[in-house]
Amino acid sequence: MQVTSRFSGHRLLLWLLCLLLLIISLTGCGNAAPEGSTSAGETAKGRFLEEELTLPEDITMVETIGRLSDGSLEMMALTGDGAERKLFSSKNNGGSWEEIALPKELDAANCPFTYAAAISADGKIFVNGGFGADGSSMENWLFAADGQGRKLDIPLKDTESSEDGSVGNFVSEGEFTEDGSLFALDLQQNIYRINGETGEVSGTAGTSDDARIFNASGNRLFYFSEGEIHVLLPDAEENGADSVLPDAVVEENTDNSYVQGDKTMVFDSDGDDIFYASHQGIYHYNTGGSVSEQMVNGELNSLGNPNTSFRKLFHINEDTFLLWAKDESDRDVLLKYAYSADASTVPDKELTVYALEDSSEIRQAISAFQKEHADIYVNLKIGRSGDNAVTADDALRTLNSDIMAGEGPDVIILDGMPVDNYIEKGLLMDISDVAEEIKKDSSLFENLCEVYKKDEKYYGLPSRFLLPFVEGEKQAVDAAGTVEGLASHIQSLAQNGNDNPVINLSAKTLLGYLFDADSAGWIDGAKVDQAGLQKFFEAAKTIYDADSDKENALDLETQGIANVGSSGTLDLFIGDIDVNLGTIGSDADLMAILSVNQQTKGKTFSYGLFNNQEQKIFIPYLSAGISSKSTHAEEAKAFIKTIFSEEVGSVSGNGLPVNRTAFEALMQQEEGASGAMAFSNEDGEMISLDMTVPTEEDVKALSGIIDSLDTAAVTDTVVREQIIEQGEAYLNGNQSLEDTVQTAMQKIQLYLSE
Amino acid sequence: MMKKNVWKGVFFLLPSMAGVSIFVLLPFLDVLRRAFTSAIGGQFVGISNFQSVLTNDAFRQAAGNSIRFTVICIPLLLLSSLALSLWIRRIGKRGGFFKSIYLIPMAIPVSSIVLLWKYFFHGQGLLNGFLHLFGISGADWMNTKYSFWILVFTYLWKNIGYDVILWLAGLSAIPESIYEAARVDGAGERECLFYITLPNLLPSFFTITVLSLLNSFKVFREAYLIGGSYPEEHMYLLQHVFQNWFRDLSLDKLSAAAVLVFFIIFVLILLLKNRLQKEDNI
Repeated sequence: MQVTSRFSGHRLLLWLLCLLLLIISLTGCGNAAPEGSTSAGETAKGRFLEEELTLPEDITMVETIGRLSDGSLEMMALTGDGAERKLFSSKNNGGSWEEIALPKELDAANCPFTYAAAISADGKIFVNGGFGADGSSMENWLFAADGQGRKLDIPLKDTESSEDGSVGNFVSEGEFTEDGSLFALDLQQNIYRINGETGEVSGTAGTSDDARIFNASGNRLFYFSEGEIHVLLPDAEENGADSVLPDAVVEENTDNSYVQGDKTMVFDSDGDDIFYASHQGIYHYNTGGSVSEQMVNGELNSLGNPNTSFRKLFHINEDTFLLWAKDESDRDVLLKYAYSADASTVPDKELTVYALEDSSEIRQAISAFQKEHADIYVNLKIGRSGDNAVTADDALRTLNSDIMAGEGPDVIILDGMPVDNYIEKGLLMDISDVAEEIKKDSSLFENLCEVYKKDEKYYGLPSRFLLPFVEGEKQAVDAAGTVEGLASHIQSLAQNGNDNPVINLSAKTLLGYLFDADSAGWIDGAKVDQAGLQKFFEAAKTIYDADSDKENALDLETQGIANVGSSGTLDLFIGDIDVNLGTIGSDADLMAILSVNQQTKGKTFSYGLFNNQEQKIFIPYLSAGISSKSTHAEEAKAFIKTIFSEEVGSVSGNGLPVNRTAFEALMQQEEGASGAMAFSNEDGEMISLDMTVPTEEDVKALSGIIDSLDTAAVTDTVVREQIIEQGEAYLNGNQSLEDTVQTAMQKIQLYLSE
Repeated sequence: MMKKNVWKGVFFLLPSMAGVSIFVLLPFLDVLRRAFTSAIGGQFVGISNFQSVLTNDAFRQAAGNSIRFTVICIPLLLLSSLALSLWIRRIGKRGGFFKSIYLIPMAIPVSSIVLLWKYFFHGQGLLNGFLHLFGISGADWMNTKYSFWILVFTYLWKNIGYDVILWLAGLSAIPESIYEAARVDGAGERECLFYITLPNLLPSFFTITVLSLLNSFKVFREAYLIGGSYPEEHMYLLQHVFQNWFRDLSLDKLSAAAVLVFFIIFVLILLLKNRLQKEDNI
């Protein structure tokens, strides 16, 4: 009896263990709730919404904005094409502005331009600018709140005028702290603490090569020095101690791509609370804490636009921020972020955009779309982030898994994707209606839109493109009708004793570049012409061998496209090379090429399309399609229209816009010089190059070239990678031509036969 | 009583059956469904996926290479590992040392093996350096037809220790008394091998053959790490096609090919099992 009872106990235990195992197994299965979601049926509410405030109508450039101790804002700005300078005041946090008296010394007739300007909490104005009718006298002025001004003599370091009379050093940025101190940054990256009353320099802060000021707020100065963000604290002694902000604040924001005025972060503070804005959003950090709290999500508004640069952040109250920024068109904007308790924390609709590679162009498009569609959250998924060793193949397999699991993207950026397969499998939606709508709204380079057209239906549209070009004397440009002709010309230059006749590209970069420019001539869908491939390798080897200095060869990422740009044009200008190869992908590229062609002495340079004999080739970029499995097709179509919009296309970046109106807007700039560069040539002489804006004829000539384009470069990444891999071994002398051609053909045939 | 014991057995089998059902059988049923539908829309397409797989050059090339690899490797591996295990058994206690030696390749990570092979068989690798001493010009072996034989060698080298252990387990199950009785009756080594050892190893033979066959598919890791998605054509195996089809979202062809391969292997195993059972009964 006792035995039976014990046996029953074991059985019960066994059953319980099995039940436990089953429960544990099943708890792992179920769909996890999406991040940020609450219990079923509830949607978390509360979000800061962005609103662009209206600035006075005729403003052309805001020079500074300051917040006074009474809470009002003051703004100094140039108006009416810069002819007049005005001072404005706003008592309602930027809601409306009224003009107030400007010190007469700051009249634009007396001070045509400023380099640095700041307004203090008690209404003082500091200005460094060009004074005198022609602005030739570089002066610092401090004006009291009543408008009384006096010139400040700031003893800057390293102030030596150059031979041409230009001033060697001056204040390029100024910020007031609450105690009346003025912090100034000079061109030599020195930060000075200046007595706001006397103008005497009473100390310095960061003096490293990379020093720059972010902002002053309260009695804190936020500045960057030696790779770290520093805060000069209220109780710091002059010249004295400061603290470095913790990682919680720094995160990814120590971007060294800072240029004067274009700040990657701006700060404001209130007691122990520090607020800062970056492209990730607006954050709150409590001094002494170890984490920052995100107040405004940059992914949902203009903050996330990589082309937005920040000038000043104002924490108005716990529900409101104001941000003075420059948008992608370099236009001054005042953005208000106000908390709305009724708005969903995350927009109800989510549009997923997938791209193999990240790019500022796609982020800019997302930001523009987000601005117009505040109710849609755009989730950008990047296949290869660059932080890990994920290959394109790995990323595509992960994407396919997501698609098959019903979690695929709505919009697919097709660059580097097996587009033909996707069309064949029915993954890409017919977006002919979107194409027609875009064509109705704006003028397009329609010859470029046909890349992904099958059976009279559009399955994808390239929004940007690049042009492979050759630059040099007429013979070089004429020779670029074929890659063999160009190689032969370069070889003859090398044989005539020129050690570096052509831009020095690494084997991988050169092969990628030539593949884009030439391969459409010998790859036709599922066929590769072996003779064409052999000629391609031979020509590449000839060009590669023309320059023996392989250590200094330009090595670019060739995944997708080899965007060589116009980097070689300056080598052409200083006489280092005779032939330049590159890609035109921006107004800056065209400007550099034209400037060099116009100003090179002793030689007549021009540029022409690098194409193969029968085709005029362009490289499609930022091509977009919609997944046929998308549940947000209408929103996805709206997104594609945004990518094609004039607003997005007319911003300079990688690739010229397919939207003709945007192209013309991009190229339309103020005529005349837009900067200058100085170089020493091979004889050690200093020569300067004025960057001149393309004329109407120049733009027309380029438009004509674009209109003549008829063939898209081969965008099949598998074929491209195999050819680059095999070609690299051949160019570096590790493989014979015969083996290279055979191996490449065999691998490509395998791929094509799949 | 008998019925009660059967239910007990079923009860103990349930957890693993549940695992196999969820992670193997159900996904396979989905693959079976996809083999008859289009890749994205899910429309029924009949046997057209099978037709396109069977007429696909890449699949035929890969299937040919895989069959060739299996036909060459499995007999070679079985025979060589059996011979080694017989030898190890024969030398008695000293055999333990060799057992460990033969197992070492299994402990070496695949990536290390691949690196080693690259150093050895590269155009400017150790093998060519050695051949150069004798005035023989080398080649980039991994990009020649010899790459297949390098793969065969890799498979044998890596798996021989494992099979030796399996054979030894089979050998240890044969009672020593049978050999003693046979020797008393005048049987020599040869007779003992053919009339006692080999017949008694038949049950092990089935297991070892199936395991070796399944292990032969794992050689794809080496082939992929050496040659990537598109290796030298003689190294291009079925898994390359599967992997590339998945990348290209050709799930229709992938599913049809997977079903074909499954049924071929399944039939092969069943035939082998039946054959061995028959011989066992005799």
